[in-house]
Amino acid sequence: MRVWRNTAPGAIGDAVRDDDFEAEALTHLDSLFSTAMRLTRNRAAAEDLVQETFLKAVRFSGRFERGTNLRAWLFTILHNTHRNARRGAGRDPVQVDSETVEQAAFTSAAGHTPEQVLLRSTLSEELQSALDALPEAYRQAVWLRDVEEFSYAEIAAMLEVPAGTVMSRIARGRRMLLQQVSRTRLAARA
Amino acid sequence: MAKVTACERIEPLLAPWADGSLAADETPAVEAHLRACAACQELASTGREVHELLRARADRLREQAPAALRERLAARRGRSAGQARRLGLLARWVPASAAAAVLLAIVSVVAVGSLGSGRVLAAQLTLDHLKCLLIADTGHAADATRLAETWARDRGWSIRVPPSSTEARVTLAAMRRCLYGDGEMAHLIYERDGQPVSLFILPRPREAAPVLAIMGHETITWAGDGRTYAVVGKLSREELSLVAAYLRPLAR
Repeated sequence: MRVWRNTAPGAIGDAVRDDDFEAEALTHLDSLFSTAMRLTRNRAAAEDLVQETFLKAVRFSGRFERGTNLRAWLFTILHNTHRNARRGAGRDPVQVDSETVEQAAFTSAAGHTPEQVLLRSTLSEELQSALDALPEAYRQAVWLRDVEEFSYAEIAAMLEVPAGTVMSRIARGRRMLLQQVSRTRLAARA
Repeated sequence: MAKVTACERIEPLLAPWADGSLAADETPAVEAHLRACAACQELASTGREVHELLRARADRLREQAPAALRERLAARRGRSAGQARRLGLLARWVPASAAAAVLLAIVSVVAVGSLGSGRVLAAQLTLDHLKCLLIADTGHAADATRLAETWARDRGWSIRVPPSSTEARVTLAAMRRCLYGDGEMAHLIYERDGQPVSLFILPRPREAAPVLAIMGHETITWAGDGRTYAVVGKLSREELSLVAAYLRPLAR
């Protein structure tokens, strides 16, 4: 049951406030779109997701506390919307291949591996496709931390998982990313 | 066994260690463990390499939002809040009995996993009609052939889009993709004398109530060739029937 209520619908102050709010929200459009692309890996779906996010943000702007982090709030809506859409499509929101994950976590080698040397010569396009090849839970967490620079606590709130889980996913996701890059590069050479 | 326990305890701290955000009082314990454990050392240093690479490439990895999307959202500034609020008020004004019926039906949908009643389908389509009008890029005529091609390319299944018609006083304005109980459906937005009318194409047969009025909107539904179609608009039933009569033989 919704308890949210607008205090003075249609008041002039509201209109000014809404306009400010939307102007500020629009400054985060590229960030939101890039993240939507990593979530959906499809341009049309990413556009839909961002539009829906903006619509919800405007509709619930009364719930946003001024002075708090608007960017984190918008990202939270984006991830909630994505989760709900996936639920609607009948898919599991977290698909984890546990074997890959275990391998990624505990493949042992010391010092600088050839893989790490290889990493530095990786093209951005290769990096992009390697990211897209990661299981969703890892792709989200690594992207939000290393590209969008959210804190572990902020990411935990967005993804609705404990902070410890976020940390594990990021450590393992980074390792999987390296393995993915080396796999594609080796395949390209062969 | 002791080593596995130490690794498990340290593992969540390796990510913040790698990107330099680990609390100062936790650092000595982590670094002592890394000196003693090659597996964790490798995971941690890989983490640092990947983190530094992603930071360095962050700007190139980010993509620009499409210009059309930016323009569409910018054009809504100021007015979308008012519209969204009116939609919220509208939803609150639905008579309690109707709201309860919809809620009950939605609960049964969740339990049974499909929309059993045509009434609920019509209610959902009416809400989708209102919702999509807020974000759709309307206001100019759209090309039916191009929209059908775009749909087939992006969605992997084909639709036939009825074009604008001066005779039927119907203008094709926009296309959207919406979700319903069984997956995605095509949402085509037309205008008749400035009034928005939606045509929904669902790729599966559904139980549907043929003619229904919900929240001041009329809906007309029909089925054929394994698909379900619905027309929704805030027009009189007679007028909506004329629109449906034009769209029905052309839509697929």
